[in-house]
Amino acid sequence: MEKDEFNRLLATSRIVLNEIESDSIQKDTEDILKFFDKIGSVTVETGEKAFHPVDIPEKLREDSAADRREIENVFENGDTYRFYFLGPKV
Amino acid sequence: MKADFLELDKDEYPGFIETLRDKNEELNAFNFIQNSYGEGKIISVKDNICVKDMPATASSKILEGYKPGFDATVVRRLKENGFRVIGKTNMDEFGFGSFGLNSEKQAKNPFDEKYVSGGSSSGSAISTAIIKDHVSIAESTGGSISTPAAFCGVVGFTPTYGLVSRYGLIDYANSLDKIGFMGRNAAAIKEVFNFSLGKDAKDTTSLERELIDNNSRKLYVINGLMKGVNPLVVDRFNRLLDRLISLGYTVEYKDLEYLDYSVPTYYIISMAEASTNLAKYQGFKYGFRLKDFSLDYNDFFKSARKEFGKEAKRRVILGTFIRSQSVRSKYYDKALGIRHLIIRQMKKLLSDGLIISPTMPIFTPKIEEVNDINPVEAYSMDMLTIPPNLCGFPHVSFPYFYEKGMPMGAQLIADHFNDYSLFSVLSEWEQNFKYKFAGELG
Amino acid sequence: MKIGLEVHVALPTRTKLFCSDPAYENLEEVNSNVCPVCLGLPGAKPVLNKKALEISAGIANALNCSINKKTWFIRKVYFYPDLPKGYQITQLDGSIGLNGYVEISGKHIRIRRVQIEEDPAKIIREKDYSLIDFNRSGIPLNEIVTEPDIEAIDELRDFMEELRSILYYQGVDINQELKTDLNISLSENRVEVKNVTGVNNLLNAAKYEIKRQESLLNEGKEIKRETRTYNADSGETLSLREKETEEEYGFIFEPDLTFYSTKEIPLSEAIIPGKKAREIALRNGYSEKTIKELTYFDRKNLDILSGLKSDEFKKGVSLIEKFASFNITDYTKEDFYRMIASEFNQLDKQAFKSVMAGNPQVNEADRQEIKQFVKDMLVDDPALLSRIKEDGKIMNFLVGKIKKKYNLSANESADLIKEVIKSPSVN
Repeated sequence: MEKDEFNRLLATSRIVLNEIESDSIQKDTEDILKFFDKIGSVTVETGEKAFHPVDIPEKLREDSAADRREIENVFENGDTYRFYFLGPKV
Repeated sequence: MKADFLELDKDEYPGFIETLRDKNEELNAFNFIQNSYGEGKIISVKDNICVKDMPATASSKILEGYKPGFDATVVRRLKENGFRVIGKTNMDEFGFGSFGLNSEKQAKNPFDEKYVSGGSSSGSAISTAIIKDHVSIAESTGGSISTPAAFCGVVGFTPTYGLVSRYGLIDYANSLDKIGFMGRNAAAIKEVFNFSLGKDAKDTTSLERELIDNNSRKLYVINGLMKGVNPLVVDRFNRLLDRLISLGYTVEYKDLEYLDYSVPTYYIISMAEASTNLAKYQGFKYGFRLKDFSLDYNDFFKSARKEFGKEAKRRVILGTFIRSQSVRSKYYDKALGIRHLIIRQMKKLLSDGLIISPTMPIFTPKIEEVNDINPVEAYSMDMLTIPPNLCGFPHVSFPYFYEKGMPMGAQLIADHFNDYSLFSVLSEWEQNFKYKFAGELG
Repeated sequence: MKIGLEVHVALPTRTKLFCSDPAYENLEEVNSNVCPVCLGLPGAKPVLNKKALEISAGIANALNCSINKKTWFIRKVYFYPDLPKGYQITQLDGSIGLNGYVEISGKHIRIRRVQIEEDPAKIIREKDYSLIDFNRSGIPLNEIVTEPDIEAIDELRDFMEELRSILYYQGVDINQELKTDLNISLSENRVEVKNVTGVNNLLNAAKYEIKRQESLLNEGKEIKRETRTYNADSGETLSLREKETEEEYGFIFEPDLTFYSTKEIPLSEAIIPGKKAREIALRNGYSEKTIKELTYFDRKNLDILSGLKSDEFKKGVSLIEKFASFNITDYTKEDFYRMIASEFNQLDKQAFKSVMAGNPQVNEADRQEIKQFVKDMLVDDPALLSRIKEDGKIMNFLVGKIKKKYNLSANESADLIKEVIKSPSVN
């Protein structure tokens, strides 16, 4: 994997690495991808894919409001200002 | 056999907690221990499963301080049936690991602290190994119940995918994650499992099905799987097979060609899903809070996401690559296709028998032996636990041998919804083999 | 010139797309309709709203799409503080509707797909931070994606009018400001104007872009492929700061959900208002434009006009126009049929309303007769006039008398009496 490609992945996934980490993880990534390439030798003829291991029948929710206030304090985990959650600058 | 659960009265509780805390200093089994007393049959819960009024961190610094404020469905059901949660158990960060070492506090084997406990449900296995009549609620994605159960000498049961609701489980890989149980015998696990079952309107993938015991006495050993197992482990395992044959089981050796691909297939799917699940950790709504809101949001996110551990970063990067448009069909789509083939192949065998193997291809390693192994080597250690996990088959790891005092585990796999078949074989085994546990707290 | 659109429409459900919080109630109370699911708390899981699925199938059907037999969802990963999970649950190949079209003046504007997706939270920019309200997080949307088939501003206007009308007939709240991404290219390089709110802004943004791109071309300059934003105050589009990376969404199947069958969803023949208006106009020899104006955002008018026989049609149209001129919007079909039987053209607003309320219509002959009756009374009793002016009870007595004798409303009776009293012949 080219350094540029690796850096593109870091930017896409919003991950920053220091130089030592970057070198070692880039090498790991290459080794692991080589390991993954093993599956290239399998031919999947049926075209079927197992998105889940078992069939998941459809489950729909009726359009009615229920179960309000499952959590007592929605603001417990974040910083807030006048009932708004505070977030980084956009 | 009757299921027993530890219950303590108000006077016994503080002493118990004190001993537990001392023990925890040595082994790092718990991320959180509940000091205040409450009545009920004692259980512990893996720290990626939400319990109201307790923190949930999945052993990640990025979730430090997160208080979910709601109970996972499995926790709610168990509370309603007289159980009480005494603490949240240590684990590899987000479930990413096989040895219990990818955590701020590395978990240690209760038989000998120099050895690994196994992971990712390290703390659930340790607590079950040291507390009398204990059951712990754990979770497995690729072997996170079987592996630590084997290394810590307890029973670890992973149900069919979907049987136990995932509502309240902090996601690793949604199409693979299964909540399961650690315990000291089949009866206790079965009882807790039964309380946990049932349809849940809050988890689309949760299923309500009639469960089967196929009463099969036919055991299959897969040649390809045994290839990579340490010969001495094979030797101990053959002794187990002999004992089972003497109990009236038959053993047949079979080839399943696609199983060789299950490890890369599993890691491709799990990393693709994990890299999306970890996108939500941005350092401001819960858990770790960066507070420096004047940073541009991209810089803010990048700074906050430094809190991920190394393995988490590795999986986010690889998962992001696998999802890239240019290679998605080569890795992700292909892996979903192979998963389909493996399921079909295994189902054929499991229609009239169970698959048995050692749980791990190696003896319990020392911490220093695996602390620095490379990721491909580490992932390959999951070769025996991955097939049933990738395919959602119910499976159980149970102790069958003690090598220089350290327990060894074997793993039985059944067909989807044949979960009760495992308990029948296990109960019979437990009448013929006495487990040795690392402690009897309580 | 080629224009393609991505139009976002909020669906008329009671609750959100994946959780049971109210979608539209109490929105002014910040962060009141929130739960673990729409906050994106670790541990929460989505469950699909049945009604949102049904409404989406109806919309896709009305846009002439083929309905996917099985529809499914994907995760679209991107990073922005208003996106609670770091990915949006949306659709692509598994979209509810694929390959449709909207007809405008005989031309097909092709619809690539209709996808179901969740709205992100509302974000307010401040200088050193942002403020986030999750009430909007998880509101069910349809994103309607067209092919780049629109070739003129007039077509853009007609398309939006037709689309909004089709959506209105699917129960969508048409007063909402539609959020649209506008793709517009005068050369081989496409320019995307993101997130334009409302139809007027959309038209203005498109006009501005056409002018801008034209003048660049005239100067022999290249048009950059880029993403722009529209500033409604200045009426200009502005280039967005170039991102350091081209965002790659990395779609995967949404493993917290499953496949949903559309076979059991009841779909009746969709109302295509443009087609209906044309049929009605043709059948009755009327101008299509007038019929469109009356029916595009008024289902009741459409029902009435399609039910009218030719000989009554002209009268019916003029009655609907009468309702409009009197600013009466809440009339029922029954009101319409009652009024069409009357001489409504001769009525002032008050009389019109009175007849509408079920009182008999008083024609001119009747009015003269009543007035004469009042006059005669005044002549018979010369003191009466001053007594009426002094004593309200006398007035009431008179009103009662006329009301009874001529079967009139109290107001109308009083009006007639007052007219007589004021007339110079009496004083």
